[in-house]
Amino acid sequence: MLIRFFLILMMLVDSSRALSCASCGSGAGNPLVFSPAENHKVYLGLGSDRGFENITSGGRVSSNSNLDQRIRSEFSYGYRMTDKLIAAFNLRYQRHNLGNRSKLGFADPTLMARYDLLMPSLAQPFKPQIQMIMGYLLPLGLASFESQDPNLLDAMGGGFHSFYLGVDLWWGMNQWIYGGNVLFQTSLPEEYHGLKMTPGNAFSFTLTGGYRVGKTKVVFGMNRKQKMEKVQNGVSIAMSSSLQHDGFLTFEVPVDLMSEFRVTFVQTSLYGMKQRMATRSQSLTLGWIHNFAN
Amino acid sequence: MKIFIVTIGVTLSGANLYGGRCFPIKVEQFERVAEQKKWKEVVFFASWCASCKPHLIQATSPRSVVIATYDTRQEAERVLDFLGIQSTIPCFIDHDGKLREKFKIQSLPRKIMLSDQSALKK
Repeated sequence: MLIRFFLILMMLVDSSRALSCASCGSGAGNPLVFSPAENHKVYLGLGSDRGFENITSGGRVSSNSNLDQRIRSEFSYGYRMTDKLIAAFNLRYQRHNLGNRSKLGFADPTLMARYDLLMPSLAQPFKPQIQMIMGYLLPLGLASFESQDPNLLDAMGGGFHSFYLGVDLWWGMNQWIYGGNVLFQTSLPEEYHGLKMTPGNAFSFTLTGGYRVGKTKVVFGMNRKQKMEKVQNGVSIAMSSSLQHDGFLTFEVPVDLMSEFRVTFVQTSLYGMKQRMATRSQSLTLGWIHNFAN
Repeated sequence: MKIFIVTIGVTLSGANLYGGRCFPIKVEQFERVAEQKKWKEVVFFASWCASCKPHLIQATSPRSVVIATYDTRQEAERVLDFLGIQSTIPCFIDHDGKLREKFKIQSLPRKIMLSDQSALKK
């Protein structure tokens, strides 16, 4: 029972991993970022997460992992609504492997919007682009508390309707590029078997740097996600708050005027940094992005 | 008459005839003036387009012309001034996006060669 409770907590933490770097269009849950000249964009991604380890509330690494590998296929579509506003939809279909067992299912889809508050300019290289980020996560995937699997292998979703609000800053006018964002996440409570559960609110901070090598962009960065304690039937669950630091490295290679390839490596729960109630894994994602004219 | 004004404007753009160096132009006006002036290359750019910088800096030929799309006149002029682009290079504002449509601009930066004028006749 204790192990199952621990696994559920781990899965609740892990279900939010999609937001850290977002393979790596930004730190805002969707791999698509638009320039004002782009109106429709599609992203197709294929990724693998391995080397799962759980980190306890005390920061100890536990060898009890409920997952050997996760293979992800990801689809995103973005559309320009106005000169300043874009909306993007993201859906993942994935496979969880543990030993010789595996389960397939949808993860939680997200709908994100970005609104340009300030545009950068070649004439003012130190003026950032500032975007407001808004988002919604639909709990479509099976949640850990709904799973009947002894290892929660079919738990692909978080189980809660979640909303995001944040700000993204980006200095991209020079050879060296850098940026950062802050994202606030809050979720609606869910009732399951008479238990009213609310995950803690979360703050995510992403710092990004990068360098242009010809037309290729190398982008690296770090994400810190801090989640407050969960609440069950009005009572906070002790030691259920989490802290996770992830690192990422992305190569963006244009294929032609309209398409690019993106390769992203993410190390969740970076070694040597403070983590609690977190999951450690390494992920590799290959993405293809195509911009459709008009 | 309009063509005459645009032609004079282009010729004297360095002299700030319109109080600036970039001014709006319609597709038909652009086509006629381009043929008349025998422009060889057109560089489309926008103030937010970081990778447009090298294309703008290389547009030094007397037969080069730059077109700011998605930008206001003020933004475009600020960029050219900041990058030290010669004021003899004609600059236009694609204020209604029609030049962008005409040349099928789907991404920026974009350089179009007009040497055989075929791009204009499409």
